[in-house]
Amino acid sequence: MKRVLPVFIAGLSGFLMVADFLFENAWLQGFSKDVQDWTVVVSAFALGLGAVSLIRLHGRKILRREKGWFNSIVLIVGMLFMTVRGILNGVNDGYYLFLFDNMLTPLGAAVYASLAFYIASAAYRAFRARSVEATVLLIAGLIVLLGRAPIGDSISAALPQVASWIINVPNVAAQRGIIICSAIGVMSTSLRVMLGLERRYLGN
Amino acid sequence: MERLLNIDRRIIYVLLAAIVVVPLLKPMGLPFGLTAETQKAFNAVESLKPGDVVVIDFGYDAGGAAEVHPQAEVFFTHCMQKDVRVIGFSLNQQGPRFADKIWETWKAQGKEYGKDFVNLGFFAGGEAALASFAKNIPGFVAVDYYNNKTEGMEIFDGIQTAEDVDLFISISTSSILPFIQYFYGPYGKPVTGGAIGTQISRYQSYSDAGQLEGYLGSLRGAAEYEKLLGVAGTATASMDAQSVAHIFIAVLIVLGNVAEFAHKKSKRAA
Repeated sequence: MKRVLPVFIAGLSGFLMVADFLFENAWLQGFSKDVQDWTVVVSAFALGLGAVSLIRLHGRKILRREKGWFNSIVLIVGMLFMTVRGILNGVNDGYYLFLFDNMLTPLGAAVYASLAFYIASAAYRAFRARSVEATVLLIAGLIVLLGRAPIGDSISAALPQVASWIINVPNVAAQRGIIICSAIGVMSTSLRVMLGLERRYLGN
Repeated sequence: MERLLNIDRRIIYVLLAAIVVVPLLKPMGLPFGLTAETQKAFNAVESLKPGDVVVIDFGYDAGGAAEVHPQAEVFFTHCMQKDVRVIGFSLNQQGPRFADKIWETWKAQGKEYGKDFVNLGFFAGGEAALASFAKNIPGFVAVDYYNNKTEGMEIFDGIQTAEDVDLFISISTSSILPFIQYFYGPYGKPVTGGAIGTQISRYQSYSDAGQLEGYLGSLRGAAEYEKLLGVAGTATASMDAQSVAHIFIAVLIVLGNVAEFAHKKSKRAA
């Protein structure tokens, strides 16, 4: 029963959700909406669970004085401060807005921007024409890099057109193949779950 | 050649930083063209009539904001200029604050909260939230981002489901495809959006198939949209820096290959 009941519930729910997508029926619509609302509620709880697990993990790190423990203090204090201020005073709290706009936003942008330096270094060291395939990739990459850059039009009027052709024809052809194959894979896996043939989500 | 092959990466970092800073301080105003995808996205908003309804997902965080926030700004600006109603939310916890920042500008220009715009805040649950939202837009959340009750807000007049929305816009650093799955697929509603540069190759096939009304690709897409709107914003100001950074990376790739080729040749000769 411990195994059969969850598989039955999962299978039935799956079939009813698919049926709701295919047919217009008030009961099916109500059922699928309820299930989707439950998913939203469970996801919201998962966020809380994530916060608790983060505090436990970093709390342990601080107690054991593990490497970088002071970073964990900053994380926990920052998280608790933002949460408490946000809950008590709402999203227009002055401290909350100040920290979001003047710390979180520029720090996030700085971390993301640092990728450009890694890309530049990696482009120099790793993007090499060591085989025919690598050479084709290299040439296509260079054309798209320059063709999609704003300066591409100034270098040559043909460059953006060739870059667009690479994106619109070979890229789309490959992407379509990948998308269709993935969709078939998702369909077959879903069907296996609904029929009870795939039970790994139960944890065994 | 050996030295060129093993160049210290810090030199590359310093050169890149120097090259990018110069055009930011002294813009050159290099011209740039329009891509068909930006034009399609622009046309999708342009075709709206006053009073129409647009749903926008501000699905990005502080990390991706530098690349996609200007996209949100241009879409929002266009919607406000067209006098369409905008229902905003975010599938990212940090997104609502970015929507709030854009709204502050328009609030100061006389637009009315609850009538022209509503910020529904963060939606937990990802795709399940979208599916549920599509079935009951005014009732999906009881209170908005600012803790106001959503019931009775003028912006929801005549709106019940996704069927009543005229355009869906997803500006996301993760994926804009769920919008196609939950709004285009079941309801046949037009979807457009904005994405980071590394993702745009994924969206081209959806745009070609007509499931996506074009898209804005990275900062360049936002700059093109600014050009169509006739405003010079943050995206346009960054285009020169992006151009020189692209050229620098292209030069590095060529230089790296020339150095390796010459090194192999000299090794063979020895």
